[in-house]
Amino acid sequence: MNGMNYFPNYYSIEDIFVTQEKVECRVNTKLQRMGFLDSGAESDDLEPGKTVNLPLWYIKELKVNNAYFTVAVPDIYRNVHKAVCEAETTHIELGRLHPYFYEFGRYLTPYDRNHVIGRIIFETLRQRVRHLLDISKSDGQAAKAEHRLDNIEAKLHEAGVRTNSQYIEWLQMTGNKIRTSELVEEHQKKRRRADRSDDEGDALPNSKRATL
Amino acid sequence: MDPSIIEFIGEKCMISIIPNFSNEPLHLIYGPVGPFRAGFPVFVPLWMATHLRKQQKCRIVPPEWMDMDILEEIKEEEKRSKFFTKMPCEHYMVVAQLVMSTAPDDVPRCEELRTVIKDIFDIRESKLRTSIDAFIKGEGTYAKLDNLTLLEIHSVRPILPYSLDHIARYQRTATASQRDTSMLSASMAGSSSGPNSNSLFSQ
Repeated sequence: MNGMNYFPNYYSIEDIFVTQEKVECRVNTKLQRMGFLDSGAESDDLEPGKTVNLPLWYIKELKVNNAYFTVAVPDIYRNVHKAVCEAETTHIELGRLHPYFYEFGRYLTPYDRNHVIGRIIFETLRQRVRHLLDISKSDGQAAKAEHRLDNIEAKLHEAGVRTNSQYIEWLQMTGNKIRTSELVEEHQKKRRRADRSDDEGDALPNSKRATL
Repeated sequence: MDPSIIEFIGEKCMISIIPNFSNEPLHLIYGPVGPFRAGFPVFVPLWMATHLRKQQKCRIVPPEWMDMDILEEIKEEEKRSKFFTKMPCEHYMVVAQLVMSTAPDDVPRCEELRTVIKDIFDIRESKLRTSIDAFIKGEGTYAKLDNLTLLEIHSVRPILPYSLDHIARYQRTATASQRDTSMLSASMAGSSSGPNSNSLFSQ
């Protein structure tokens, strides 16, 4: 319920997942003793011109045009995929491109000189909202597996499905029955189990006496 | 926003019943409910009407708008008009649902009425979706819709405000980065203010 008004804070799990994604960066200057960042490095220092894969949380703390790394924008936000996004907005499977398409793109926007990413994610979401509204009206389960939505869209879809099921329940007047709470049920099960084991415990000496 | 809450709000509508008992006027919080005389119609809130009906102490008189011809006309009007027409009662869906579930015999041609009302509801809901779509694609900053009832609004909550939130966030980052780099290229002083305002927006 609270995952949908998503304003990422330091502790939000999705934010941690997104910022853990690796981005390719090219080293611009010689960095002494930073060779550990590159797993296949021979020397202790990072030579300019090498490409390393660094996690996003590492890069986003640096200034955008810092002298040490140049961030390469991942392919999913470029060229072919960009054209596909614009052409087939509702049918493209964003979940398959990247599970956190929108958020990842949002973090990468300042690094993109051509201002492509920001516009793509904005336009794509705008076009897909109508589609989301429509599919959340249908039965939910089957549709979600087919369409492979991005994380943000999946949450919105879940909200839509929940609203729809509440409405249908109300129409058929099936919802809103008073149910026993889970704690009470668990307690009753435990009590029944305890009673049953007590009975078995009493039965054993009886049966022994009977055979004797 | 639960449909049960919407039902609770809608139950305050007044409806006319014919009791089969006599009683003094009841003094409720929002006013007295008139003297009950067996065989004479009296106006009571809907919750009281369903309650009495379940105890078989009255007979519900369906409201004037719950009539086949009037509803058919409303449906035609709704199909023709681009905007939402004014509904005869603010909570027509709730009233229809409650009356027809507790007292289907009191309402003549119950099943057909149910179908027509459901049709009207579906037409309005699809009109709502289309106008939401046009609003989002048209880059407007606000929209105003008249004559929407609560249950129709419920069908788009909370997905609509949350999706608008996300769209606004991405729009902000897109325009911020565009503005920042144009500022950077224009100014001589390097990247002083750019990344800072960027991080403000992204958090």
